Formats: sequence, C-alpha cells, structure tokens
Amino acid sequence: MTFSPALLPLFMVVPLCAAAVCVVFRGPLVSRTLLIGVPAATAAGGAYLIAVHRTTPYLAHAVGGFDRTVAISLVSDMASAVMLTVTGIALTVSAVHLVFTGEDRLHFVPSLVLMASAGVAGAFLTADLFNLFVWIEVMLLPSYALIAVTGVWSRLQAGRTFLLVNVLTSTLLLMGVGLVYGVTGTVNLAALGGAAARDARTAFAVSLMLLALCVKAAVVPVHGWLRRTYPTASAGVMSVFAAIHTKVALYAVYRVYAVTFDGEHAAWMPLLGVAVVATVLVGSFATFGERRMRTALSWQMVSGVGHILIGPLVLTAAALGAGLFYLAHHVFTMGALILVSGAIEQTYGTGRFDRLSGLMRREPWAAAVMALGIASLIGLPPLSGLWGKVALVTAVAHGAGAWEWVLFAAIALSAVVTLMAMQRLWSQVMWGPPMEKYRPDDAHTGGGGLVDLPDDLRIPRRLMVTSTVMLAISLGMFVVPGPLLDIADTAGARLLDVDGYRAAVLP
Amino acid sequence: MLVATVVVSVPLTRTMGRRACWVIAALYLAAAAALWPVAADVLDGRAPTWSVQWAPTLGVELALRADGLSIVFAALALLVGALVFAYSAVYLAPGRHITFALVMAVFTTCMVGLVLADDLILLFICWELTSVTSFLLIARSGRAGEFASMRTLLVTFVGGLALLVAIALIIARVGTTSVSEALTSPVWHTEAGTTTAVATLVAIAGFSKAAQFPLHVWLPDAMAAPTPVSAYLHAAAVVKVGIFLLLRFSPAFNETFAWHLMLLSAGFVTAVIGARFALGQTDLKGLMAYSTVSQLGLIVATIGVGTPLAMNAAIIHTIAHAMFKSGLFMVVGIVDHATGTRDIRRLPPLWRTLPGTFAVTLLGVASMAGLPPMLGFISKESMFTAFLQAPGPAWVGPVALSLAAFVSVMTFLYCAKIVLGGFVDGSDDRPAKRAERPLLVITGIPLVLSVPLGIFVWVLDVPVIRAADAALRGRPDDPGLSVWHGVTTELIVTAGVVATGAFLTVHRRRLWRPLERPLLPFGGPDVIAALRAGLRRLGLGIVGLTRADNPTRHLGVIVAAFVAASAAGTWAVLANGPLPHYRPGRDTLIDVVLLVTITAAVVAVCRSRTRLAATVSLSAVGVLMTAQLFSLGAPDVGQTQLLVEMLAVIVIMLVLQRLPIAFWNQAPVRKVRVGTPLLAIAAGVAATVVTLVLTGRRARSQVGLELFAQSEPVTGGTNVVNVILVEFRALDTFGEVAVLGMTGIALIAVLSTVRSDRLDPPRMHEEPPKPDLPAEGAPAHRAITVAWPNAVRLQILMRILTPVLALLSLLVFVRGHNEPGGGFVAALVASTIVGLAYLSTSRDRQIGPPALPLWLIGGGILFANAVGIAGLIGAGTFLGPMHVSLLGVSVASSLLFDVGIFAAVLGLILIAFNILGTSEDVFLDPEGEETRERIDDMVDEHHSTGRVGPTSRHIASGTTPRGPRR
Repeated sequence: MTFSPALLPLFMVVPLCAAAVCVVFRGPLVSRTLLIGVPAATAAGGAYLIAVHRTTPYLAHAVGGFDRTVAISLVSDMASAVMLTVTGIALTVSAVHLVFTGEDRLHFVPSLVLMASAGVAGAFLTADLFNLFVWIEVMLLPSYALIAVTGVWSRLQAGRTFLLVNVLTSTLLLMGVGLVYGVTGTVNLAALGGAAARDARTAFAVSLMLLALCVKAAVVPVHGWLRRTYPTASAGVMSVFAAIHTKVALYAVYRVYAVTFDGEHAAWMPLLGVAVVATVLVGSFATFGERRMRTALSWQMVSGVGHILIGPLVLTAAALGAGLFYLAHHVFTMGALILVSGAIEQTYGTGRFDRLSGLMRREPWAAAVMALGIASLIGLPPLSGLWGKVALVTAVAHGAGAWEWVLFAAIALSAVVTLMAMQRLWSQVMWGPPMEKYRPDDAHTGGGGLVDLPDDLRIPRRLMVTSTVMLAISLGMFVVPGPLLDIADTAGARLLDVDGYRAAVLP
Repeated sequence: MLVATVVVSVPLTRTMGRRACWVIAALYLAAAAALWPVAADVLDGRAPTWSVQWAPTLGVELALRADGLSIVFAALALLVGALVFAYSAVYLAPGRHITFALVMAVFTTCMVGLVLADDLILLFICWELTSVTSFLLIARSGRAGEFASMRTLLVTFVGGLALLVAIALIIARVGTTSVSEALTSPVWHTEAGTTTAVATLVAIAGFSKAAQFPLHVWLPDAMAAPTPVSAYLHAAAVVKVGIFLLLRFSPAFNETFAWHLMLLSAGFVTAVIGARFALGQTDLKGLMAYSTVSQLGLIVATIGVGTPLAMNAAIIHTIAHAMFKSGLFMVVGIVDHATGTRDIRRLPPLWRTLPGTFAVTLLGVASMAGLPPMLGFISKESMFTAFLQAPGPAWVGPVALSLAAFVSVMTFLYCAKIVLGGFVDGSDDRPAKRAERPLLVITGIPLVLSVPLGIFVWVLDVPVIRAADAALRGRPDDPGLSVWHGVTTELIVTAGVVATGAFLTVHRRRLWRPLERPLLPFGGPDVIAALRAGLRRLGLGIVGLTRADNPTRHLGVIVAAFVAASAAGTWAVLANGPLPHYRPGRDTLIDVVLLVTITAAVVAVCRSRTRLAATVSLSAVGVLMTAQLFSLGAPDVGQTQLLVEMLAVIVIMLVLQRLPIAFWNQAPVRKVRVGTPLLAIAAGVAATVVTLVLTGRRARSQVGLELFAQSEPVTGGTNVVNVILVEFRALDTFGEVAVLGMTGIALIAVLSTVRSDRLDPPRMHEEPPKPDLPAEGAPAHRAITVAWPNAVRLQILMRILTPVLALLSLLVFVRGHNEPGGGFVAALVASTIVGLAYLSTSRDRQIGPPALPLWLIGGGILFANAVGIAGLIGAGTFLGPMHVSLLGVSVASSLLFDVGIFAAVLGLILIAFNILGTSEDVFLDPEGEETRERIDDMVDEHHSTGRVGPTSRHIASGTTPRGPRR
C-alpha cells in the first residue's frame, strides 16, 4: 500500500473547502452530505494511512516544495493516523446526531464543525510548532461559536469563559513557541528532536509550551474550565468537543514531549506525576459532586485525561501505546454516554438526577446503552474499557518504577469512586419510582412548566442510533483487541523513534 | 457447547417460557459429558491445552488448560447448574425468563472459562464477567435487589481491581501471561517483596468473591435474588470462584508467610462472625447466607494452612458444601412457596405438612453439621486433621483446631436452628401448601447423594488428589479418604462438638432470643451508605473549587501556573550553568519609552470606569505595540498590526453603543484588591525574565539565514516577510485566513441564536424625547432633524475617495511581494471604503447586497484552497509556487492566493459593519432594520431553503422564529 505524502494537506483542505461551501450553499442536502461525509472520509483516509504505516513508518512532505529547513513539514505516522481515524469516526457519529436533533440547521453549524475538523487534522499532521498553533486556532475559532450556538441559556456566559481561557492559553502556547525559536532558532519538530534532553534552556522553553497544552487538555489544577463550559453546549456539540479539544492537546503533548526529550524523562517528571494522579482522582471524585448527567460526565472527561497522560508519564513505548488505546476507548465511550444523556435530556426536558426517575422500565434501550457505557468507563468486560485499563496497568507494571504503586492506587481508587458515582447516577435516573411529571421543551420559551408525562412519550428511535453506534465500536474494540493494540503499540514505539522521525522529515 | 447454550437460551425461553429451563439443564449435563474426555485425561495425570491468539501485543491468548482444580470446579458449576435450571423450570412463575436463562448461561460459561483459563488476562476477564453477571442476576430481581446488587458489584469490583494489579505485576515480573508458567516461576522464591504484594492482592480478590470479612457484606445482601439464583451463586458459583482463585494461586505463595497469615486470620474471623450472624437470623435464607459465609471462612483458613492434607480437605469441603448448600437453598425455596414466608417466627411446624422436605433437610443439615456418615463429616474431619497438623510453631495446630471446633459448635447450633426453628418449633398455624414433587426430587438429589458419597468417599480420591496436586504443584499426598479413621483426636473433637451442640440445642429457647438481638448498630450497607455520603461531600467540595462562571477564577490559575513554571524553569536553567552570552545591540532607548507608556496605558485600561475610556486606553496599547514592531524593523507586521488595531477599535465602538456607558451602575465598592494586581505584576515579571533568559543569546538562526538566502532566488520576491507569509509558510497563512474569515461566520452564527429581545432593545412605543429645538426651518433645526444634509459632504467626498482608496488597495496588493503590502493589508485598506460608506449614509442600512459578505468569505477560502490545489496538481505540492499567464501577464500563484486572503478579510469587515452597525436610532425609526432582520437578510437569501424551522432552533436557543419584516 502506498500513499503520496503530497496528498497529506488534503486532510485539512477538504474539510476547509467543505466548510466554505457550506457557508455559501446552505441547503440541507449539501450541508448534511458534507457534514457527515467529510469526517467519514477523514476517518477512511486515516484508516488507510494506518494500513500504510504498518509497512512505511513515516510519510513526510515539505509543503510548497521548499527547502526542508524553512518549509512547513507535514508528517504522518501511526500515532497521527490513529488520531485521524478516531476523531474522524467520532466526528462522523456526532455529526449524524446533530442532523438527527436538527441542530445542523442552526446557522452555519455544519461549516463550523467542518472547519474545526480541518484544524484537528492539521494539528495531528504538522511537524512544525508554529503551524501546530495555527491549526489549534483553526480548531478553536469555530468552537467558540459552537459552544454559544447550542445548549442551555447560560451558554453565552460559558462561551465567554471558554473563549477567554483558550485565548489566554493560546497566547501562552504562542509564547512558548516563540521562546523555543528564541533558544534554538527553529520550530521544526524534527530539528528539535532530542534538543530538550540536551539543553536546559530548550527544555525550559518546550516545557512552557507543554504547560499551555496541559491547560488545553484540562489537567488539574488548570481543569476548571472544562466543567464550566462543555455541559452548557448541547449533547451533540459536547460529543464533538469531547473528541477534539482535549484530545488534540493530549496528542500534542505526546508528540512534543516524546520527540523533544528523545524519550527521556524531563526534570519535572515528578510534578507531572502529581498532576496526573490529581487529574485522575479529582475527575472521579468530583463526579460525585454533580447532579446532572452531562456535568457528571464532564468530570469523567477530566479523569480520562489523567489516565491518558499516564502514557507520557511512564514514557515507554508500551505506555504511550496503552495511552493512545485508552484515548480511543475514552472517545467512543464518552461519546456514547454523552449522546445517550442528550437523547434523554431532549426527550424528558432535563438531565437532572432528581427530576428523572425510573427510566429503565420506560427506556430499556437507553438504559442498556448507558449501563454498558458505564461498564466501559470503569473497565468492565465486554467493552473497550477493559483493554484500556489492562493495557495501562500492565504498562505501569512494566515501566513506571517508583511511581508504580502510586499509579496503581490512583487507577484503582478512581475506578471504584467512578463506579460509585455512576451507581448514584444510575439509581436516581434509571431506578426509582416511575416518572410522572416532566418539563417539555416549549417552542417559545425553551423550557416549559411541569406537566404530566404522557404515557406514550419515548426517546425517538433516531436519537438512540448514534450512542448505540459509539457503544458498538467500544464493544468491537473489546472483541478484536489484537490488531488495535498492535497498532497502538506500533504508534507508541514510533513516537519514541526520534531518529527515524528526524530522518524522515529532514533527510 | 456452553456458548451454544447461551445462544439458544434466548429463543428457547422466548418460545417455551420456563419450561426451557429443562432443556438448558439437559444442555448443561451434555456439556459436562462433553468435558468428560478432558476430565479423563486429567485424571490420568495429563493436562490437555488449547489456545488461540487474541491480543498478541499484550501476549494474551484464549488459552485453556485443564487440570484437577479446573475439572472439579467445572463439574461443580455444570452439575449444580443443571440442578438449578431443573429446579427453576418448576419454581419460577410461568412465563418468559429470558434474561434469567441468558445471564445464568453466560455466568456458567464464564465460570467454566475461568477455571479452565491458562491465560492471566483471560482469567481476569472471566473473573470480571462473573462479577457482572452475578450483579445482573441480583439486579433483575426487582426493587429490593437494586441496591443490594449495587453493593455486590462494588465489592466484587474492588476485588477485580486488586486482581488486575496482581496480574499486571505477575506479567511484568515473570514475563508471561500463561497461568501455568507464571505459577511455577522461580520469581516467587527470589523476590520476597513482589511475592508478598502479589499475594496480598490475590488474597483481596479472592476474599471479595469468597465473602471473607470485611468484604462479606455483599453476600447476605444478595439474598434479594430469587432462590434458584441464590442456590447457584452461593453454593456452587460466585463464592467458589473466590475459593478457586485462592487455590489456583496457592503454588506461588506457598513460601510466603503473609499469604498464610492472611488466609488463616481472615478465614477464622469470617467463620466465627458468619456463624454468629447466622445464629442471629430469623430469616431462613439469611441464615443460609451467613452460614455460607462461615463455611467459606473455614475453607479459606484451610487453604491458608497450605499443606497437602489441607488442600485435600479444602477441596472436599468445597464439594461437600456445594452439595448441601445448594440443596438447602432449594429447601428454603420450597418452604417459601409452601407458606409464603421464610421467617422462622412465623412458620408452622412444617414437618407434618412437608415430611419429604423435612427428611432431605435433615440429611443436608447433618452434612453441614459434620455428622457421620455424610460427606460433610468427612470433609470436616479432614479439615480438623489439616488444622491439627498445621506447620509452624507447636501452638498453631491446637489453637487452629480449637477455633475450628468452636466454629463447628456454632455450626451445629445454627443447623439445629434450621431444623427445629424451620420445621418443628413453629407455633403459627398458617396453612402450608404441599411441595411440588419435581421440586422435592431435584432438591433431594444433592442432599441424598451426600450419603453414598460419604460412605464410598474413595471415588473422590483421584479427582481430589489431582486437584490438590494442581493447588500445590507436584506434591501429591494420598488423602486416604474414608469414613472411619479409627479413634483419632479429630473424632474426639467431633464428638465433643456434637455433645456441646446437642446440650445447647436442648436449651435453645433461652438461647435464641438474646442471639437474635441486633449485634451491631450498623451493618455493611450502612457503612457503604456512609462512604457514599462522605464521597458526595468530598465531591461537592472538589466541584466547589472551580465552581465559578467568573472567568477570573479560571484565568487566574492559568496565569499562576505560568508564573510558577517560569520561576521554577528559570531557577533550573540558572542552576544548570552560566547562560550564553547576551548579544549586544538589541536594546534601544525607544524600548524603555515604549515599556513605560505601554505599562501606563494598560494601567489606564484597568482603572477606567467607563467603557469608552477603556477602549481609548486599549487602542493606545495597540498603537504603542505597533510602534514597537516598527522599531524592531518589521514594517509589514507593523502595518498589519496598525490596521487590525483600527478595525478592532471600530468593532468595539459598534458594540459599545449598545452597552451602558460605565462598567458599573453605581460606584464600585471600595475594596482593595491585592491578589489580581500582584498576580498581574508577577506574570509581567515572569514573562520578562523568561524572555531575558531564553532569547537574544544566539546568532541568527539557520532558518533565518536560509530565508534570506532563498527568498529571491526561489520565489522572486524581495520582501522576505511577505514571501514567508505567502510562500514559505503559506500553510500558516492559509489556516489564519480561514480563522479570520470564519470569525465573521461565527459572529452571525452566535447572534442568530440570541433571543430577539436580547439582541435588540424593545422598540419604544412612546414618542422619542424631543429636544428643545429652534424654530422650524432654522439651519440648526434642520441639522438635527434631517440626517442627509449632514452626510452630503461626506458623500461627495466618497465619490473621490472611493476610486483613490480602491487604487491604493490594489497597489498595496500588487506590490506586496517585494515591498510592504499584500492581500491582508490591501483588504484592510479597502475596508476603509466600507467604513466611509457606512459613515456617509444618512440612514442606517446595510452596505452592499446582504449575502455579499458570505460569498466573499466562502469564496475567498475556496479560492485560496483552489490555488493550493492547483499547486498540488501543477507543482506536485500543495500551495506549490507556480506562474500562470493571466491576460498576458505572468502572475505568481502566491498573488492569486493573496486574492483569497483579500476576499475573506473584506467579507469579515463587511459583516462586522453590517451586523453590529445598527444604532439606537434604528429603534426610533419604524422603517429601520433591526439586527435580527439584518442577520436574517444575510442568511435567508432563499427563504425556502435557508430557513431555520422551529423544530431545530427553539431546541437549542429557545428563540421564537420570526419572519423578516419588510
């Protein structure tokens, strides 16, 4: 299998063109086709790249054909291909959900989602730190609008928080990139291979950049923005966000840390360890403090970020691979849970535990999806979470040294607390007496008053499709873990192969 | 075979209702028969294996390996399973029991998989699946089972995590996922620390399922499940899985002191506590549950002894317990059916109405109490032997034996309570139905079988030896199972136990009442509930730390993190050695001037009370920054910066007209805020220090030199900055253009979902206030009331300025490649035309066709893309430089790329003016266009296709769809 590296820009160009087309032609047929088709094509392209990378480790291309020292290079390897595929699939399913809820008919939502997906692909493929910043901005700009377009009444306020946090963080990121250039005279990641391991000043500059990325990934103690912003968007948009923002930041941490430090631990590794453990635990404990389904889930996203960062904390090929696998698992599992919560919210008018009750008998299908999603979240078979947990714990046992027991304890404690918190959610929402009153959506005021719940009110079947698909993927990941873990492991090994990376980008 | 059972269970139960359980029972027997060849192999001393790759990266295989332990436990699971299904066929209410049959079948499959697994991960997965399925079996039993099932899942989940960590450690230390290889590894002899850790974790896992104190809480809880489930889970299945795990891993930890200590102590504590609680129960089923806990405690303690004799004893007692306890649970089911209660205090003397049941109960209880010639007698005798001969100091054996004897007395007592309390002593006269004969027969099978098995116990010799062999690896010891060993210490102890028990039983009436008082003010469920409440409080606390919609709280942490990281990093760098030499000639006097003035301007922004003042100060910051750029010698960037600043100020002003003049309605509370300014100063200092440490200390970079060297020869452009922007790093520009253009789109998207009454203030219905005007016809009157004469001069000026500005824009555009300029600056120049046009109109109205900005933005981005793709096709690389002949003039593709930039930026500016440019006057003017209408105009060019129906928009925003008013 071959793939011409010159075609790599198409992963950004096609979604951007589609976004522009959707600005001009806003008919439902065109915009829906592009909204669903383009992310699906990205996923297919990513899958093809995965196949290519089984034999070809790296595909590198200097955009514009200039000298490689000055040109921006795009590089695809196993890790970026995996990320393209995972986010592509998640975006496709989320897009279908947006179509099913009708949110895609809000002005320019298809354009904004497509543009964000272009930014995501660019961030995965670029080997240039400033270009990384640009693509992250391309991803964030439409997000500022998406968060304020859909969701609850407080969305504009949340949108402001989201905007300010990200603008400040992007400034920090840009400062970091500038300082890296100030020290080394280059922002080409391949030229920076191992530079931070050799030189303390480079390490300092790169670390400031990584700090900004950690803010974007919602690592404790700079995690608070996620809970205040994501749940205010609608479920479909939240599911889009869950697949992109923090995941792009995490991928960038993986890539930049592994390449610039050449697989060696940074001096601040203990600090990272403390932050990772805190993120894992804060996310799960805080889940207990919420009383709405999607706010509870937003904390689980924080906890998932902590789990994924165990990869770079341990910094072995197996750990990075396990982290990537966990990332993929978490995207699909969270997607399923967010979308099923959204379907319940949309039908019953609220996501509050105390206003929902006894839904298991009314909505057995939604209950099943939610139960399996929770099982996946805490790592019970037969879902992807099991392999995620097994791979992480095994990697920790193999290579975490002194951190071994701390991480074991954190993972186990987090899983138990998450289970208990999710049991709380479950027993309030799914069990208990049958619901009698609810607040239907009102065409004029949004939320209406309490009225009797009609007997025949059920979640429309189409709203259950997307979460079921996400869950089915998680189920599939459990059944055939072999090739997937193999891919993740290869990705982890290639992330640490700095010489190979450098040779591919700067021949 | 079992998989097939799982598959067929659904359609079977769907079509046959509860009678399908007969078929499933038969399938279980068939599965057992299918396992027979394997079992025969094992009994001959071989270990058949089978494996398929599953997840090779982790070394995981679907590997099965049969040995003595597997065979014994698989047989238990299948045979008792068959009995339970047969029992269910009669016991369950008629109707479909799809989930029951399905989950039971899955459970059995997993258990058989677990005992046969030769792969650690496979073993773990089966382990977790048995947890999940037992949870489901309890959860499906209605409201009462719901919370009980949650607790069951929680406890077994904790055990599962312990097992996972243990397995990960084994895989990491031993380097294999094979169970059989891992257990025989030399690591267990050499690494005492690891071994102790793994042993502890395995013990916790085993305890969680085998219901050892304090992880026993789930088992009595689980009694909410229907009787067949209890009979299965608590006699043959879940709890035996825990026993199996402990036996399975025994070979590895035989030399580990902690292992024996844990098992012995937990086992005896559980045995005593379980028996004590059993005595206190009045619910027959609860009594059975606690008796199970107690019996399991004895088995665990026996495993803890760790001698070959002990292993034999543990395995025989496991078999014996499976038989008598499954039967006794089914007896409880019969009693429940017959009388509708399980409460000893409300049961009539049942031995008269249920004589058959009474008879088999006697047998089962005799086995549990350890009376000859039952199998239970033999197993109890072997356990006594094992305890007596326990290794270690001399006092261990007698102490262990007396503890076991004490437990046995209690066992005898609660056995007496079952028989006498359940069947004899009752005084209630509630009617009792007769037992259904099939139920009785099935219940009788395991109980009656205990007799012949007890007498002819030698048939179990070989399987037990093989199993014990597997639990100890290669140290077989003939158990010499038989009813009569001669008069030994154990027999004397048993006699003593029976005598004491019988004596106390006679005085039972004085004994029961005090025992039935609640022992503790709280139970396991209360502990878990308290834990949950504590976690809720903790969770609320953690959430509270970041519960703020005020962005300052979130931004402050980020800034603080930056300051801390800068301080730590600077310290680390300075500690690492001297910094490279600082290059001279970089600092000029103007820098100081700018620093002071910018600081002053920033302080002014922060201190201003009115929005307008803040805007003015902010624009001062922008202009000064621009000056800084010029002083650094970057005119392109400076130009762009200046124009962007202008544009930003215009947009801010457009927004300001809708906002109150001051930030606060009243004067702000005079509160001295220290934290924020301090943090700001710290951030400034940190940024300065970081810049000093990290920049200005190296020669011009390789990249910089290359750019200068290649700029002209490669691209033909002499303006390096522009060449970088549109050639070398065109991909960056490409992304940024998209960002700029889409900003406009984002603006419309957000505004279009804002509720109309928030977007535009409500129209005033009363007359606008009339200023005190001079007489009509006076110039001053005209100047105020009639708009267009005020604008006419500007309009005339526009006639001249427009072409000039357009030409200027074109000039800036074209010369960009060699001199400061380019598409971005050109668009900003062109935008001044728009600004002037906007100012020069006499009425607020949109400039240009409503949808023009959308076309400019979409078209601009598409055009830039097209240029890039043309490069891909023509030059083989995206945005590759090309020269095309256009009207006879050679045009570089980068110039065309600039066209895209130009269009997108211009579109953004148009949107800003048109959407935000409505003023208060509009609301006084009945003909004026409101913001909502402008947005609708822009977007809903084709009302048929572009309209947002109420189905979608109201969901998200709660806005009322509103038609455009013309």
